[in-house]
Amino acid sequence: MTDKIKIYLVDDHNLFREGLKFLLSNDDLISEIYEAENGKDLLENVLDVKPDIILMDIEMPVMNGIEATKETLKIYPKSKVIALSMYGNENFYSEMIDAGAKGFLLKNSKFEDVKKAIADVNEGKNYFSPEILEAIIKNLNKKKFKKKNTHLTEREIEVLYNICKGLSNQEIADFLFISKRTVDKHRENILLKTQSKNTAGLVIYAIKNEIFEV
Amino acid sequence: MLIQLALIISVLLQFGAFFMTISLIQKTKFNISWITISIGFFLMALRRLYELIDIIINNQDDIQTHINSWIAVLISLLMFIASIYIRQIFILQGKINKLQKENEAKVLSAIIKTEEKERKKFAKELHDGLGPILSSIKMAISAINKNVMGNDNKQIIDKTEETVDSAIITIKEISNNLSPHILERFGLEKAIKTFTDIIITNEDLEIIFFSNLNGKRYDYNIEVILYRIIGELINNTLKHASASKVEISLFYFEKRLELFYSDNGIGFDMKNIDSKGMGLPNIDSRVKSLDGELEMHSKHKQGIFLKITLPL
Repeated sequence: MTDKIKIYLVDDHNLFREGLKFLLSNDDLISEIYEAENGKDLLENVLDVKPDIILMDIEMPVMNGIEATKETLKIYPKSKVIALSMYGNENFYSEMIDAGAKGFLLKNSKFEDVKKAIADVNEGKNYFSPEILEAIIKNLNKKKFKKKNTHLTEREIEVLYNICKGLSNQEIADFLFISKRTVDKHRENILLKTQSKNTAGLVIYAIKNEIFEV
Repeated sequence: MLIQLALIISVLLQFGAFFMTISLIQKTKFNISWITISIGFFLMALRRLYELIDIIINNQDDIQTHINSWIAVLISLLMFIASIYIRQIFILQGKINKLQKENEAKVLSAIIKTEEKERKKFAKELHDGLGPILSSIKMAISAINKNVMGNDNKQIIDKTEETVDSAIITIKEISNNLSPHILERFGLEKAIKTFTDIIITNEDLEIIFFSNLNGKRYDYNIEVILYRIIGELINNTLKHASASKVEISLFYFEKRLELFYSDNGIGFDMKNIDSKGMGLPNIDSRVKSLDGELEMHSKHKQGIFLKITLPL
């Protein structure tokens, strides 16, 4: 297995796709770039291409990014999806995160953010555009959450914090001097208690409840 | 004997005409005229009754009395017939008024629908057409390796990036004002929530929003009209009310939607505005276009309360 990343660009806007492809093609980390103009297009080819990272637009004709993310992860769960959207609103990213996306980028991001997102998500971490994190925090300060993480135990908060830092379950176990099985159990409980579907959802929960800061 | 019978019928007809005119008082705009006519009819009926009693008691049977009585019978009959037809005229007028109102609502609804459709189109073209192009430019500029260029060029690149950034923000704002994408995509509750969250973050106003819609979606026309109304109400509150708190509730019932809006601002004297328009013409015409009802109360220094009911 090579370390180089295979990327699939899924966006109905031709010009945007071309532009991003051109920029990415100069990056040493990336080996191949494929393009699709909607979700259906991607689904038909994903098993032939086997991409590491899929950069996925949300609003697309024929099949949108949310459907496409769900379906793609069903047939090829090894790929990691980063949403690439014009909209930074909470409603959009929570839908994409629920669908299984590992990262969320705004289309007007700096190119270095795109590169960082690809690198981070490829390593198994989550990535959110700084603008989105800022918006969550701004909203948070204004609302002044009174009930902070009411139902998580201290250990669970500790585990959650380390999950947000991008540590794997084994790493967390080593760090907290507990067994990996215990960490697995904690993670399961936290997912259940916070009603999150995946790690990306946990990160958002942690930021909203001031467990993890960015 | 015949004349007595005719007079009895005449009395009945006269009273009939009287009740007919009385029932029309409500339907006419010039109530006073109908009240006087009704009184006139009533007095005439009394007089006929008096005549009848007179004839029965005194048993008058001369020709003059006969002619008089028969003319009276004829008058009563004519008045009765006339009042039937007058009644019909009013019923017809009522129908015309109702039709006119319905037509007005239809025209208003068509105007509002067309306007929203056009707005949506422009918003989409701006956001989905121009947006990604500007994003592409932004990404390309941000990818330029600034380390290999002189200070002057570096500054130019930085300025350009800033400019493109503000162009993107402007496009987003314009397109969101034209037609809120979240409303179309996620429905009324989330759109209102998003809108009020922005207000809460930027203004010194507490907004409490409650709804029992549970994500239920309605015809886009209804959703967009309610969204615009709430937007306008909040704007009014921010501009004029110096309020610190706004409460918005949106309730779904079996066959209607009810919107309650209140603030704790300075309010206004209801006498100074025509409650059915003047103050809130935009809101009023929007409600009318959906055949809905608008109710508003306000008192000086006691904020405003507003209820809008829309049939589904």
